[in-house]
Amino acid sequence: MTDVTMRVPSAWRELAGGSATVTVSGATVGEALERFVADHPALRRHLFTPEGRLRSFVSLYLNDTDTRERDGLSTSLDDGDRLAIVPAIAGGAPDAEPAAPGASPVIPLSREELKRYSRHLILPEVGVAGQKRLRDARVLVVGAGGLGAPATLYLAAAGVGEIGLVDFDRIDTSNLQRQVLYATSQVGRPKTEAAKQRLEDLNPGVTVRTYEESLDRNNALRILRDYDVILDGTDNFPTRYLVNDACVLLGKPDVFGSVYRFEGQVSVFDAHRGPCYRCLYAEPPPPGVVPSCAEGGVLGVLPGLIGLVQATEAIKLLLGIGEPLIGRLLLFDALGMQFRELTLRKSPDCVLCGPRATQTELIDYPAFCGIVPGPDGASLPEVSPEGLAEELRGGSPPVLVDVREPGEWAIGHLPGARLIPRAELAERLTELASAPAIVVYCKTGARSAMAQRLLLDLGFDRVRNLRGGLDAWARQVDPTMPEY
Amino acid sequence: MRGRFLSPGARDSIAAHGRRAYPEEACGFLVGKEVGGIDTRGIDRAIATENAAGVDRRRRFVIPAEELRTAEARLVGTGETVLGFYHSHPDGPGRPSALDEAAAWPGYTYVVIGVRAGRADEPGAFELDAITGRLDPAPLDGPAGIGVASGTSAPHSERVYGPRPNEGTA
Repeated sequence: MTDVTMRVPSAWRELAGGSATVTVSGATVGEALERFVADHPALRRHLFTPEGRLRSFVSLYLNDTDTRERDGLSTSLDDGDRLAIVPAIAGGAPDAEPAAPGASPVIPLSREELKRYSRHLILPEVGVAGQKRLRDARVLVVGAGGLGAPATLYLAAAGVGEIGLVDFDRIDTSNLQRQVLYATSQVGRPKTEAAKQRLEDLNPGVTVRTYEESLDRNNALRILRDYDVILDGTDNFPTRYLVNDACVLLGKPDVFGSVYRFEGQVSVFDAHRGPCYRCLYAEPPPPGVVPSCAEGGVLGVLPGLIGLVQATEAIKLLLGIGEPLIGRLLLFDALGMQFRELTLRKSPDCVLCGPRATQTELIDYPAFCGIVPGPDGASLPEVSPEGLAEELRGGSPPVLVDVREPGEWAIGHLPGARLIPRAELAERLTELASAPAIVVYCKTGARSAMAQRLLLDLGFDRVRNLRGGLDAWARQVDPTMPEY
Repeated sequence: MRGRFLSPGARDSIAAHGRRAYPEEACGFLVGKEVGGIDTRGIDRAIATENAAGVDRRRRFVIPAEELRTAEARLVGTGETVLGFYHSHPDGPGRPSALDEAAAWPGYTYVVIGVRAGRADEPGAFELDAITGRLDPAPLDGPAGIGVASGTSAPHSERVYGPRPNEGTA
């Protein structure tokens, strides 16, 4: 068993049996801490929540390194390690203290700010105090796309003092149908760079911090830690779970939004006060089952609407006004022009925020979402665009099956291909019965991977998927193929 | 009877920091010595820290764990320790708020000072009561000084520490 030195703040030494330093044993930080509170039960309630999770205001240092920067409670220990428990100190003034009689009111806003935010200031629910609260606030927007673009515009206009923006993408012409933050003249520029320029021009009182990188398990806690509210504008499941998990681990509210075709969803996940995203969806859908907007399309105005509901919720959280969408999932149907609402409950089985939570750190999200084959999972056979072009020039080309929708087929398709939309594939198998070899394709390769799986499951043995779909074909083989 | 002593220098430092930070909350460490366990505390110095609250520093204060760790490390071997923390309530009273109580830790002395329109009031001292979860007054005596008799103090075993709500207030 590993023995380590555990140090507590000197003011706790009486609670810890008279000494600020004790020796405990355990293979991990969590085990050592459990031994420690077993010996000093008076401290347990100060260190752990009733559900047994380490309180957010407690830091554990292992040889001068915050264990949150390592593996949290799972961090392994060596003989002679020094472990220290250190609390953060916090508090604050009562919400509504009457001013001293005769004291002149203090206006903490500049003249320019008073003018700029006058429509806020005359709202009793915002007022000078609320506007200053917005100025002192930090909101992180993950994804500067369809949701993030409108949300950041209004957050900046509203005077949120610091906006963080995470996106590694560059502006593409196909973004401009909905990402109103960007202009045609900016196509090809990094989104974060263009967004910072636009938002700081809109409101010079706002600071925009940009992160031109992909959010992952290695940088998420570091980036999210500095912010009060996280707005999730991501378009993929791995990042969505990552944002949720990091928010739960850091105790931050996650303003979630998603859009697809004509429908959108919004909720606020705050594990302190309600469910988290994992309570709602414990497991991600299999890859490809839920198409992205790039695959399924989206009405351009829809992410504008959903992104602004998210911005509204973020501002309400910062101001502490109204009823947040905690424990509620707002569903919007643009075609029916209807809003509906589902009540969400905290899952007792949630591995992250439930009473028997087992997940205490970030995980491998692409693997969790099945995007990267696990050690046991073999990837399905693919063909590269160049490889397919070579085969098509040869003597025995494969049968090409385009599994997209007819409208997409009309935009452009591979010569000699036949159109069998994915939904019709199971009923039209006889058309492929005599094909010696098949290559399936779609726009990006995601839908065709599902079609490929279906064909393989039904006994077709020589089925390959065009890697990267027509988008890759247009980039690598035929630049005249229209991209959409 | 426990004794809590705040030196005039520490008192002045807290008031000056409260005025300087106004209209935001000021915060910092209370440093000094103890006699007879925690029965008698002489707070000799107040060390100002930056208010690290990410939002609304006019009504919130945060001292990150790293700051406390650094402060304690500097005091090793000096005979002094971090005895508690002070913070100001701009345009508010010199007593703990519900937020202060919700975030309070056991074993520490909390000094709260009201600052109104830039003028500091007299500070008050408070400590967490285990059973009620409240920050109860711990009257400040003066002048500061170590060596005050503590023979009438209750035995330590009678001290019970109670639950602290989960929510932080940053």
